[in-house]
Parts: sequence; structure tokens; C-alpha cells
Amino acid sequence: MLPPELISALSGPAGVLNLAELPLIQPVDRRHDTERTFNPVRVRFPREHEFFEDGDVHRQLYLKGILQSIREVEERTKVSEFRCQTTGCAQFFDTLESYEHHYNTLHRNVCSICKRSFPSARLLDIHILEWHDTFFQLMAEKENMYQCLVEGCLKKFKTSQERKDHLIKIHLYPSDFRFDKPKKNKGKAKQVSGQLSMELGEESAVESMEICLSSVNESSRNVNAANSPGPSSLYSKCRVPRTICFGHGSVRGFKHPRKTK
Amino acid sequence: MWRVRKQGYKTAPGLEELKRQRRIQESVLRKARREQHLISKRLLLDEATAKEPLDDLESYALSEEQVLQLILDLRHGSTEKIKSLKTLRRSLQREDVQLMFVKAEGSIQLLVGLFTSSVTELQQESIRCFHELSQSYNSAVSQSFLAATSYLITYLSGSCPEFTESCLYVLGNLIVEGEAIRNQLLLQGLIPALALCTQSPNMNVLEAVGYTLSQLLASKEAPEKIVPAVLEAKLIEGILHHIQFESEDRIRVAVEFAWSLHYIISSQVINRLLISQDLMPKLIQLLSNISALVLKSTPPDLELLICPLVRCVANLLPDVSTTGNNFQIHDGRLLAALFVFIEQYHKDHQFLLAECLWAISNLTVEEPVIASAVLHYNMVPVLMSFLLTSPEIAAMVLTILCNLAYLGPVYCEHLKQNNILQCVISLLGSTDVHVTLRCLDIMIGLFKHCPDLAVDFLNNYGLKILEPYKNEIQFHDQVQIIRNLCSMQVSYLFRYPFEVKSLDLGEFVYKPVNPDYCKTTARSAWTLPF
Repeated sequence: MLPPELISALSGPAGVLNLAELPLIQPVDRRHDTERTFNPVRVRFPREHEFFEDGDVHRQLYLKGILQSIREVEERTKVSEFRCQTTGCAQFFDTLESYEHHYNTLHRNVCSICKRSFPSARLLDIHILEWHDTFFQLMAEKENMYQCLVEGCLKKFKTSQERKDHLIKIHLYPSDFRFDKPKKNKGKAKQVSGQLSMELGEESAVESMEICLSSVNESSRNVNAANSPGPSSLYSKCRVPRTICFGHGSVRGFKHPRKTK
Repeated sequence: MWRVRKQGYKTAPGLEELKRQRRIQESVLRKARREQHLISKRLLLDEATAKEPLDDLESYALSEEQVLQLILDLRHGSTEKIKSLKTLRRSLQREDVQLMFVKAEGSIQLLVGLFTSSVTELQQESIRCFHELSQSYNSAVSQSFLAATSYLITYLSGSCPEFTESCLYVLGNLIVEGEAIRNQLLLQGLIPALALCTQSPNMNVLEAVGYTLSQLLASKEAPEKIVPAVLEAKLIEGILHHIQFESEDRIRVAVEFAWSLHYIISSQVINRLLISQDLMPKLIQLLSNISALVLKSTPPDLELLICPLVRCVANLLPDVSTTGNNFQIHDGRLLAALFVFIEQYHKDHQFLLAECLWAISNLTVEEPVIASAVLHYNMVPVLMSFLLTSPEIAAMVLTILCNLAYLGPVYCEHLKQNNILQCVISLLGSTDVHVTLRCLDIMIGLFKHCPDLAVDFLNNYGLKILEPYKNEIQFHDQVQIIRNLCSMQVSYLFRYPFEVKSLDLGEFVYKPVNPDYCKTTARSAWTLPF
């Protein structure tokens, strides 16, 4: 139907086909245009215009899944049950996908000091600053340092309580938002040994999640903790970008619990 | 985790059954659209449920006591928790169970607790429960969600793609439940969180974020509230990035973002800004790529991508001319792509034909470059072949022909070559007022510029065929002008009978004004490669 030169313009690498440069423009003549009943204008249609009805209905049929033929069902290959290798974790999995889910939600954004796990990197960043950064504590006395938890909100507050009020009032957050627990027992975690701090960490994580972990075999956890590879002292000083992860149970924070030994 | 789209029919249905189902759905949707609450929710199913027959819903019925017992088990039980949650999730497909569940005290908080827990299976199963609940159109169910939205949004910035995807679909389904819910979602930072999600490399997450965004932008308060927020969050760049598709497996993602863009542009609040950022050349490039693909093969669902993009182009055209960017649309690939879509889709998807014609009609308004290309590439017969498709389509085609006719004698000569007068007169009797009006408008243009057509008309049909319209108020002016034009052209005929017979029409009409100019125009009109 289309002339070959147009088809080649569409599929070829030539790019723009400037019609204004082609010798095909016909002269316009409106001398007899005194009486006109037709007014050539470009028409806009608002989204709710009935002109769009058929197309919109087609779109909604697609959303409702009526248009689609049966798509392939992804079979999850079962593997023999294995345990998460992360220190202190005792969950078992029989598909790689569920393990991946577990790893991504629980072991990606983990505080290295208190082992709390957070749903997002932003919440972890805020946690590390507020809980384990001494400089932050000093600064907080002088200026507003408590960042709002909401993505895109740049407000900062003098205390975590002020922030909490802001979250409830402005962002309609629930008053018991479970990723905004106030800091308790200031500084105590630092004095305990590495092993103990991990256990404490686990407890506090449970407290923050308000869900009990299924009972963990104590001895297997200890074995696991002893076997877990500690980062070399050379690298533990550098801050590793969060997208890079060295093996299982990579955690972030100002120091690794192993170092406190 | 769960990557199956809702099929509606999980046992293989016959083609007739499919068609019947579709017709029923279509009429429901049409009614909903007229009543201005056309909303849809998307349901993803896991493979286990997808294999279960649809009418098994009966077996998931639960009594109120059973629901309360399940909640109790979930709160205090330990080992059987996951089993109880699975039972609950299956039963939540039923509307009555949904209501019983949300009415039970603390049930949503319990679900939030499981959702944020550290046990993977519980987390996965609880987001599926939320997903089932989000399918409800009952306001009591959607109200109960208010307690969970801050967590759903928080997990959008998480590191687990499947979890993010699930949260996005739950939110996307919730969005249509009213302005109050949307307000809360906006206050809780939904838009910046969506902007983060658009950077995900995961295709399923991208499709889900496109879906959620399009649901948000389709809401009625979008022009005042949502479009500005989307602009502020720099989401437009993300949208423009994702409507580009390099391979066929990106079509599903592109579809969602293209609809988002359509809702933005049809809101008509930032169109001038978008044009100044060269949106038009980008859209033309994209449509040209898609049409090149269409020429080779037609992947399924591609019309769902083309439709919103054509709407974007057509709706931007009025602002293109007022911002002095008309040169941008002189790229012939746009016109060519529109004709490729028309050729490919006019049978199966008539709405696409209508919308492409609308774009062409906007392109040809006062635009001799495009209009000349329509003549040069012999597109008039193609357009005219759709005159009998439907009144709406005929009106659209006639509008394009009017745009051409009103550019002057050369254009009218070309229309005359395609026997336009005969077509127009046969359409005069249409029941559609717009079609009749446009027919009369074209006759005015033609008779003004081609006196021999006026003479033909008088000889072959006569003014009597205009009798039925002369007393109707909406056609009165047109009929009067046509009568005047005819008598004027006949008076010329009496003055210069010889020259009329010689058929040298350009010379005949315009000699008194500018003989040289008319000679050239007449000649070029005849030497066109028709």
C-alpha cells in the first residue's frame, strides 16, 4: 500500500524524512475563501471523551486478562532442602526462588552492629546514623538531624519524637510504625562481646518485627557463627557500596561485630 | 513467586465461549465508562491456584467462626501458621470471607505483622493475602487497607524484586478505590517511591510500576495533583525511557508506560513543556520503529502500545503549532507510520483506525507540507476506502478531505481525480449529522475551486438533492452557500462557454488574477504520479 520510499524511510537507518525538503509541496490558494462554513482546527480530546471509549475498553480487557491467551507457567524447580548460610539464620528452603526472596528481604539491608534487618537501604542508612554514629549524636545536639523516613521528604527534626509526630501528622503513618523504634539502652551494645551482640541483635530484630522466629537450634547456630567467614581487616574499613555484596550475610555499618573482639 | 496473569478461564475454553465472555465483559466495561467509573484491577495468580478450576471457589467458603479461628491461630500458633495463612489466602478470593476478615478486630495489623516478619514463607503468603483483598471493590475492604499502605510503600524501595512487584500490584489495585486512599498514598511518598522503582532492571517490576503509575494518572484529580507531582519527582524521564523498547519482550513494560504518558498528555497541563523538551521527535522515532516492526511481523498486544502513543501525538499536535514547532512534524515517517498502522489494524481493531485518522486529520490542518505528501503518496484513495466503515470513521475521513480541499484548487483537483463528488453525494443521506455536514463542507470547497464540478453537479444531480437539508437549521448555511456557488459558476459558464469546453480550468478561473501562477499549478497538478 505504501510507496517503497516511505517504507525504506521507516525501516532504513536514514532517520528523519523531511517532507519540507522534498519537491512535492503544492501551492495554497485561499483567495476564494471568503465564505467558509468549515473551520480547519486541530482537535484535542480529553481523556474521558467518548471518542476514546473503544480503545479504553480494549485496554481494560487487557488489564482484566481477558485478551491474553494462557501464558507460560513458570515451573519452580524443587531442590533438596537447604538452609540459609547466614550467621544466626536457621530457615530452610526447597526452591532457589524462595531463598532468593528470603535473602533479599532479610539479609540485604542488615545493620552490622545490631543485626537488625530493614526493608530498604534508606531505612538502614537512617538507622546506622541514628543508632551507631557518635558524630551524629554530637551533631543532633546542635541541629536537626533526624531525617524523615518517607521517600522524597527532605525534612529533618531535632528528635526522633518530633519526627514521629511529623510522620503521623503529615504522612498519615501509623503511630506504631515498626521500622521507627526509638533507641533504648544507649551505648550498651558496644560493650558486649561479638557473639553476645549478635544474640542481642537477633532479639532486638525480633522485637522490631514482633514476630517470633521459629525456635532455633542453639548449637547449630554457634557452629554456623564459628564457621562464618569474617571480612579481612583490610577491606572492613572501606565502605562498600550497597550494590556489592561479598558472599552470604554481608552487612553494613561502621564496624563489623567481629572486630570488637 | 507468582508470575501468571489472570486468565479468566483456566480450563481450555472453546473459541465461541471466549468470544461470548469477551462480549459480556465489553458491555460491562462500556457501561462503567459511560458512568465514569471505568476501573480495572489486575490479578496475578501463583501457579498452584492457576491450575485450580475457577468454579472451585465454593470449596473455599468459611464461616465467621472459622475466620476468627484462623486469625487466632495466626496470632498464637507457631508451627501451623503457614498452613492457616494458606487456607486464609485461598478463601480470601471470596467476597464474603474478605468482609468477615477485615471486620475482625486487628486482622489487618496481624497481616501487617506477618508481612514484615522475618519468615520468608509468611511474608510471601501475606502479600498474596493483601493482593486478594486488593481485588475487592467493597469500600469496607479498601478502608481497612489504610493501616497497611505505609508498609507497602516502604517495601517498594526494598531489594527483593518479586516483593516489590507484589506491593506494586496491590497498590495499583488500591489506587482506583477513591480520592481519599490516593491522598494517603501520595502523602506517604508513593510517587518518589515509584520513581525509584523505575530504575529497577527487573522487567516484572517495571511492568508493575508502569501499571501502578497508569492507574494513578488515570484518576480524575490527575491534572491538578498527580501530574505536577510526577513532574517534580522527575518521573517523566523514566516514562520516556521505558516507552522505548528494544526487543519484543519489553512490549509489556512499554505498554504500561505509554498509557501513563497518554494520561499525562490528555491532562493537558504540561504539554507545552513536553514539546519544548523535544517529545514530538522522540515519539515520531518510536512510532517509526514500531511501524518497521509491524511491517515484518505483528507481535500480540502491540496495538495496546500503539494506541496510547498515537493519542499522545494527536493530542500534542494543537500545541505543536501554537509553540511554533510545526517543523517537527514534517518528518514523513510519522505520516507513513500512521498509514502502516491503519493498514495493519483496521480490520481487527477499528478504534486504532479511528485514532490514527484523528492524528492524520490534526496533521493536515493548515499544513500544506503534510497535505501535499498525502496527495503525492496517493493516500487519498486509501482514506476514501474507509468512508463506508462507520459514521464516526466516515466523519473523520471527511474532515481530513475537508482539510485538503480548503487549501486551494490544486488540492481540489486531486480530490476530483478520485471521484470524490460521487462518494460525497452518496454519503449525504447518512443519519449522522457530522457526516452530512462534512459532505456539504467538502462540496463548498470543491465548487469554489473547481467550477466544472459545480456544473457536473447541476447536470447529474441537480439542486433538488439538497432539498431535504435546506430547511434544517444545522445545514441551512451550507445549502445556501452551495446554491450561490452553483449559480455563480453557471454565470461564468454563460460568459465563457468555449473555454469551459476546452477543460483548461486553472486558466479559466484564475486568468484574471494571476495567469502565470495558475499555469504552473495546473500543470503540476496533472503531472503528479497518481
